[in-house]
Amino acid sequence: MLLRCNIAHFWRRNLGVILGSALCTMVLAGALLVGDSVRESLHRIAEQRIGQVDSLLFTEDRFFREALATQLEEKLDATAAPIFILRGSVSNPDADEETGQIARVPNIQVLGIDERFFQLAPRDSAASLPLEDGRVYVNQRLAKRLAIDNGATLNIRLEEPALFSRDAPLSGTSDKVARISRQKVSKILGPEEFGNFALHGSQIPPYTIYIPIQSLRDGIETEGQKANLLLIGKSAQTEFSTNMANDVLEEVWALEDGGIEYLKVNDGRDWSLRSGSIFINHVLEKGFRKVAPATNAGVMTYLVNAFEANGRTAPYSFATAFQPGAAPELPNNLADDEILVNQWLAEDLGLKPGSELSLKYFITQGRRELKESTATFKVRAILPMPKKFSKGQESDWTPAFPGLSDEENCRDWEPGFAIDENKIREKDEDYWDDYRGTPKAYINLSAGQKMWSNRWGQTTGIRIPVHKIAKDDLDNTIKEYVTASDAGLHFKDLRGKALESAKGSIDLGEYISYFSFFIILASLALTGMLFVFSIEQRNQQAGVLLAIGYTEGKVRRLFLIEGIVLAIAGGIVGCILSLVYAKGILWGLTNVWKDATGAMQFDFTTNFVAISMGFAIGIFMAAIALWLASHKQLRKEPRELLNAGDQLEIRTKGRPTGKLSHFLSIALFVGGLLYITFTGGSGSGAASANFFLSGFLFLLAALFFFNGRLARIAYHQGDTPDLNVLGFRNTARRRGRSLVTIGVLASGVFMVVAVSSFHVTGERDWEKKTSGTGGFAIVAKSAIPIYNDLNTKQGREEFGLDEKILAKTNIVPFRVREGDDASCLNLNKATEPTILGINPSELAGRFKFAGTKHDWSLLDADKNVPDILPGIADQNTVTYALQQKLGGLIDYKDENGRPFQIRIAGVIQGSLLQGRVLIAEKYFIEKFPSQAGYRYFLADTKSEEIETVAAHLSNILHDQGMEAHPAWKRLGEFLAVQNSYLSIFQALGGLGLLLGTAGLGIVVARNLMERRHELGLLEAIGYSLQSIRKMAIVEHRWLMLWGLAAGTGTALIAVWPAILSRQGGFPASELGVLLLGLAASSLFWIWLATILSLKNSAIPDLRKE
Amino acid sequence: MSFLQLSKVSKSYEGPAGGQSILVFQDANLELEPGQSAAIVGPSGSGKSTLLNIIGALDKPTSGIVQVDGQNIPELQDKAAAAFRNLTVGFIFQIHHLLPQCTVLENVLVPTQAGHTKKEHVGVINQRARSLLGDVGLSQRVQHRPGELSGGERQRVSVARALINQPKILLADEPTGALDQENSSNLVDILLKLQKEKNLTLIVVTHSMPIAEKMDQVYRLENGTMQKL
Repeated sequence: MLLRCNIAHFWRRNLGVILGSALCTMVLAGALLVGDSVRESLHRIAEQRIGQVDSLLFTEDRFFREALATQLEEKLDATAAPIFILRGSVSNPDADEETGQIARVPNIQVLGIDERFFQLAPRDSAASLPLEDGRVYVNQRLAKRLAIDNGATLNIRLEEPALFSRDAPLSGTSDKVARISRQKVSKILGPEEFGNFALHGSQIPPYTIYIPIQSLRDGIETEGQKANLLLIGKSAQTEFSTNMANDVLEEVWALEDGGIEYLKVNDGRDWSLRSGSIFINHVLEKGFRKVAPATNAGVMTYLVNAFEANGRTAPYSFATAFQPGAAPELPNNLADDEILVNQWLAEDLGLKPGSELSLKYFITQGRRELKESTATFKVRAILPMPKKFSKGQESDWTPAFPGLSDEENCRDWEPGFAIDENKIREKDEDYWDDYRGTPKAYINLSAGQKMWSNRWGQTTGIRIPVHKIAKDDLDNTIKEYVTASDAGLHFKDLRGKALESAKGSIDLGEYISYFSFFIILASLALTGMLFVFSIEQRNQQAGVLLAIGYTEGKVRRLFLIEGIVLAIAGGIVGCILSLVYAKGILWGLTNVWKDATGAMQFDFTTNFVAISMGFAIGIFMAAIALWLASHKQLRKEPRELLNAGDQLEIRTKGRPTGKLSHFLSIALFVGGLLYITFTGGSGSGAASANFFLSGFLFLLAALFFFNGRLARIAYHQGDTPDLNVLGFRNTARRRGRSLVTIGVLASGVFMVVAVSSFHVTGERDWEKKTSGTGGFAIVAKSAIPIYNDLNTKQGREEFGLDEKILAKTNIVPFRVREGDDASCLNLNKATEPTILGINPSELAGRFKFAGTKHDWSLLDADKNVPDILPGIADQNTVTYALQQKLGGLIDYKDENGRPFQIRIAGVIQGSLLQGRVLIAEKYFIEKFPSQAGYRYFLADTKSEEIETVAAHLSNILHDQGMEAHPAWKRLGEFLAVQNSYLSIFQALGGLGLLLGTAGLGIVVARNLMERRHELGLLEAIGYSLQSIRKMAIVEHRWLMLWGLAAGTGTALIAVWPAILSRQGGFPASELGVLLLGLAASSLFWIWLATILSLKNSAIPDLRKE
Repeated sequence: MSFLQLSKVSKSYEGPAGGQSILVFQDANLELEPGQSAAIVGPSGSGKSTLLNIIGALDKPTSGIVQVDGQNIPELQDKAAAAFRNLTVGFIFQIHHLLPQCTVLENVLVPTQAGHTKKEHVGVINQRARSLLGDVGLSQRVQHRPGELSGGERQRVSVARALINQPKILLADEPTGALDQENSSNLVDILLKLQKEKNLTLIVVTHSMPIAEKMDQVYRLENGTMQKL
């Protein structure tokens, strides 16, 4: 009954409690709604990215038959779209730069598609999009970047793909850029038309151009109907899964799909199994060797630079290493130091059995560096020459080396190193005409493998006697031992991975609720304070209830339940407001703090569960605040409550000295200093936790200090009680209230000041090797790999780079295995981050490691466990994107689909290498041997030449899609994300602080209202109303100053380690402006509350007494 | 032993830090039987209200014995003291202290919600409250709020409130202090009538000798001592 009466009667007085609870619920529920909306948006983007695709097969530089798609469609009752996907760059030859059009966009995704691609688009109506030769589609992002519309004309540059890795020896020239010119843009594709298609999860789609697959094949001069990407979806089978797709793939794949070839050799006596990649990789060789294991024989054919003997030289010839059984005419017991030569060579060099013969040959080291080696053998026998070849015939021993086998003349060879045409004699050209690639010498396989084995393989053929297996059986027999996965063919679950990735790396809703922490704190403090005011105004009622027999607990419960009912009412209002708050935050994330989200458009999602949770938590927190605020109320004698009413002030036993508070203050302060000293504080690896903990200790110390001071001030005597003295002493009259005011202000100022100090830019101190740029001046990436060493004269000449411009430039190249972007720019969860392969010694002393004993040599450490490689990554990547820590493991698959892991052996801080995992180059090429060339670069150069060098690299290497920028700018993009989150924190913290300063105004009004009689007395004895207002302002100005001082002082101490360790600089002027603003805002509220409370004379209130 | 017995009751307060304690009164004695009434008179600040508070378990004596119906009042724990105030004592204050958010009837019922009374049917309690309001002449005002009543009417409501739990003692601290003469007289007559009807022990603190002389006993509290007149 009493509860009902109280709520109905005092609801106006309790509006503040309702408001405080509403704010708290609004923020909590709003944050949860933001989190849900972000997740839903990422889910939508993921669905747009993958359309109706369930699984994908991606073979990168290997190509399968387009017919494989049709076979899979039939078996799986699905749609299978074959695609030729390549990286390249696009240019607009008609670009009008004055209208904002740009001429070129590097690093684009080129998709050669047929109509089946659009059948898998998100929207079924996209399936009717036509494909015409000479016409292309572009996605919205590319169109916007180029500032083009339908009908624009574009040129495309891309690398001619090759089965044979261009890093490999004898792989031919590396400069194979194809150009597809003057393609007209038919349409700009939106997200529902597969405009956002990408292999990896990101809220920002790649720049993409869509071209009919045959047009692309024609442009890059590829034979056959080939593809390197297959998408499957819309299966009518309800149990369709990626495993099912792989099972069917195992049934229908052909050897050709895995680049496996075979032909009859030795006059039809043997089969020779080969690979389109020339060198047979270890996985395939292992499978091939299981076919007729007792009788198969490996061969390896290589181009030697020269045979030398007796002072004579035979240049540029093939030699073969063979295993016994490879050919009947060859002996089975050739020793490692013996060699067989053919008649031609014997005559050319004057050889006879027992002669010494030297072979000079190149092996390719990293960056296509050629090292010439020599091996010497003893001639065992001279072999007769075979019959001369007819036109088109090729040697059984020699695979089709690109740049060699397809040339008519030796002088036209392009084996990947410079041929000295002067060395080639007529007889050499005659030999080529008559015998093509027939080897001039033979050694045994083990000797050959010692010289010529490389990461791509150690054989160029495996020979199996024909009589052991019939042709039809050979296909099936090979497939018995070589799986589709061995051949690099395996489906991945695109849909599962996409939806998993869309769950996000960080829970933005959780972050928003952390950032809103101060609004929540301020609103709870306001709620508690206003509730206490309400109780105090009914002290006399409480006294009556106690006097007539209510227990203290019952009275307190009565008030508390009243408060909770009000909090629930406020909570309901808060739930409604949360919709507005969440929409506001999402708008801010898209438009104001867009660096944090890539200007992503969010869909607002209303989720009843989120609102309910926010409501429940908000009510719970409000109830706690009400209890904390009120549990010490009513601890008075009923007679005191009856007599003094709302003017009752807390009286303590005796006169407090504040000694205990001062002691605690010193202890907490010293504790905070010790904590920073031993842990490194906010400058250490666990910066956030240390910052908050040390800050908390300092703030508590400050509050205890003021508690002690106020205790003493209350009983201070001896000064002449003028208005300043009275105002100063009045701060101590309601010690709890004053402390809450100081505490709320100090907490808010602490957060806002500290956060300002964490803002960093990429430009400061970039030249330092321990900075986020590693001291590098330029960062660059290319769409098409660069194989040569750009630091050598030869490498620079290859591309026409100017030696003078690059005289002081040193470039460190990185190999790249594309994966998920695990940087803070990607809101999606990264499961397989991009891998960079690096020579660790080239990064020695660069970047700053989180652990003091760590350095780049960690990458070269031997693998303690097979298939676990040591890796290094940026701290943000490890902590936020991967949600891992030092020692954590990341799962990967190598290019043959075999699993391995990377262990996080070291962590670097705040670097531009964010988003990737770095491993040693030696391990990179072990796992991805066909991943040729380098696509990511860091360069040292003189600081005054950065722009010149970057522009030069971008211009000259534009065919390779090179983009080079100052390194500090790239670092700045990552830091902008961090700064955006800090800005969000500051904005929300600032809102909370405004709430805190408004709360100060309420405290002022309340204080003055309680003392109306006393103020009336002062007036009655002669003080003017103006001077009384001045006293009130003096009193509350002290609270404001102490709050600002405590917050600023503790913040500076807590962030000092961070400022020192990061060389981030101290934004003194920014902070000065901020503090002045806060002081002005607080003074405004104090002044306003004073004016409103003391608008008229207080003498009439004295008369009422 | 008497129903209500005060024996050598003294009260003093601690002075400011380091100072002497302040004596309010000492060795006060009083004895009353059920149905008897007493007035305590004396100058302002003599401790009359303090003595009443001690009897009503709103305060504790520095020394002495306070017994009501065999209970040693100063030794009661908080909950027992609250129950005592709720069931045994009825308090009437100088300022009525009615709850403005409740009606007249609800104000009278407030003491029944304290949780010490035996469970009674709501109708029975309501009937008793209405009956008491009838006794004090406010039957027609049960749904009105305190703000709609005169000072005298409010004080009569507080009388009804004090009696709702059928106490044995009625303590009235300057009940007529805020009333004019006519209302004061009416109120005292109502008090005495109800006291007789319900055989209550009544103690009234008052400045007014005419009111004091209507009681069975009169005590004077002055200069720290209490004398029976």
